[in-house]
Amino acid sequence: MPILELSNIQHPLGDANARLLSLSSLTIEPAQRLLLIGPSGAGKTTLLNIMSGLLQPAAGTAQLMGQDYAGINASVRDLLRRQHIGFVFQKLHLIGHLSAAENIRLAADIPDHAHIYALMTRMNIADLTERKASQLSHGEAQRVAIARALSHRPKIVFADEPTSALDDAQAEAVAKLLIDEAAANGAALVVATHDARLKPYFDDVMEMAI
Amino acid sequence: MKDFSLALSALSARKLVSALSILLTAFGFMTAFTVLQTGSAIENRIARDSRAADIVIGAKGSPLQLVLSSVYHADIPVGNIAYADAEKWMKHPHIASAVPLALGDNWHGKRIVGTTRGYADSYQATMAAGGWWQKPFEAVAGAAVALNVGDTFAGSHGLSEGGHHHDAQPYKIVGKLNPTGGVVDRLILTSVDSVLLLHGQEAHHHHDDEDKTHAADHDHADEAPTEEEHHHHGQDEAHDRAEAAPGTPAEITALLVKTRSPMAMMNLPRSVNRETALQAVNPALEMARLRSVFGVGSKSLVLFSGLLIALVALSIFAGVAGSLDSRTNDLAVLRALGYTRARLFRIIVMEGMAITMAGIALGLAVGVVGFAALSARIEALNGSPLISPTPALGILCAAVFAAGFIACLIPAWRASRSEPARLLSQRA
Repeated sequence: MPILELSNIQHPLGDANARLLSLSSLTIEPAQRLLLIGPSGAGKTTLLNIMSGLLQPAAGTAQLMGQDYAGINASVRDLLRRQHIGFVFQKLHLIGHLSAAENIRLAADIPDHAHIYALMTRMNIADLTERKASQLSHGEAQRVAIARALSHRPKIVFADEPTSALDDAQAEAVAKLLIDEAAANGAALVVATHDARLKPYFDDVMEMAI
Repeated sequence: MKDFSLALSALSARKLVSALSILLTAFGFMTAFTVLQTGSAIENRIARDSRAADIVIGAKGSPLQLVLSSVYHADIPVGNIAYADAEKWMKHPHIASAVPLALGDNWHGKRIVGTTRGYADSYQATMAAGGWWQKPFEAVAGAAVALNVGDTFAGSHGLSEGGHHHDAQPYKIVGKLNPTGGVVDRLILTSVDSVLLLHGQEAHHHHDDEDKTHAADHDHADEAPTEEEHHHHGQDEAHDRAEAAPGTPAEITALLVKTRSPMAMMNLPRSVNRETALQAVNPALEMARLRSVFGVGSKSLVLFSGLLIALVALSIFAGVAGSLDSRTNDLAVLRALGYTRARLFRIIVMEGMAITMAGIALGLAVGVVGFAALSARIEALNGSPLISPTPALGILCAAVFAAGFIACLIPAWRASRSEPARLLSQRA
């Protein structure tokens, strides 16, 4: 079963030119890696919001694990997102007063501590467990954010501009980390970016233009 | 991570604001608690002290002064009444019992009250040591009087310290009462005859048993001043006159009356006031009138406490709502991670209720200590501690709890509206 299916999506991008995001069909299979690439304003974020159920499209259907977002109430949609989706935000959005481990455990109601510890060990952040998120370096925080996105074994991870403002070495490290960890957890990965350096790491690339 | 841990962590992250909210809540709770406790204790004291009498019969004059002087021993008497006049009412069929009071002397500010054993019984005062007086000039000390069995003392003329001493005729303490928390604790009780003899009036042989049912056949005297004499510091004059004229017809200060029915309690004062030169007063009505005059009735205390609870609610609201703007992203992250609106609502309510509970606990602890200190201070001043069964405490806790909950609702609702979609739009 596909993880995500979009069909006949249309949604206003909310700019002065009243442009529409239009997508006839998109299917994401388990463990698939998809890069959404395009300049700012191309509708990448709008599409990520629709894919994750945070935004209801003006027209068309979006289904996660066979469930149409439009056919379920908001609470069920929240729970579906909690169960199957992981997020890596561009600004990371760790909660500053919580420790690294607490931030990671936020993603699951019953955290799998062994899985989380293994994840943190692989990502070289096991020694940061008790450190407050506000005290982490950007690189440490980025790894904690990726660990949080994968800690509950989601079916799909959405990453928004994960490598912007990083140098080539850092961008490559983050891209590899995302791809490797998503693969290790069996999760599909969808990255929205304007960073062309990421193209070589993805099987499927979807160009989005203004 | 458990939601309650998340709520506590959020509070702990803003220690100063949280601590201030808790302190304000505690202060409001404590003040409301102390106000209600003190009011309740005073009401209890007023009610307890007046239980010896449904009606007070005394000389014409200020009804409030009659009540304050005869029931609460907090004022000088209005004047004296002839025992013969009082006796007619003692035998009235609507009166269950009548206890005479003869005032006039004190020992270090503690009033010496010529009365019958029925007076102590009406306050359920029990004997801690010794026994009741058997003959004139034997006395029983209340719990807060610094006299013990075997002590002798000379009374001073008047109802406060400073009068001349009756050195020629000392009293002997033969009994000591247990504390009652009422007015009797700070009195020295003796027979009416003791007071009469000391002041040169005709002693009457009386029997306590009769006092308990129908007021006995007493002669009583009292050297308390008339109203006019008050204005001229006339106690000494009256006293001298009484002592100088042995054989003066017996007078008493007042008669504390228990009626047989509520109807009698209403009608008897009217009869007394209309048909005689005496005055009959219902102490409960007079005290209610006093409270209404000064607006210190229980309604005022409740209103004041209500205002304090409203302030508590505002402080909790400020403590919870004040941080929301800076936590917009944190809340949106939780929404993006699949926290439902209801769950976010609950977390914010938990934060508010944690402040509320901590405030109540702190306020209660400080309030109890504060009230105990206040009670001790009052005990030091007038001999009897404030004792309250704290009927309002449960209601106050519930009210503050409810106020805290209500104060959380708007911030919790706002938090639950956090919009996660915008997180994906934020650029570094």
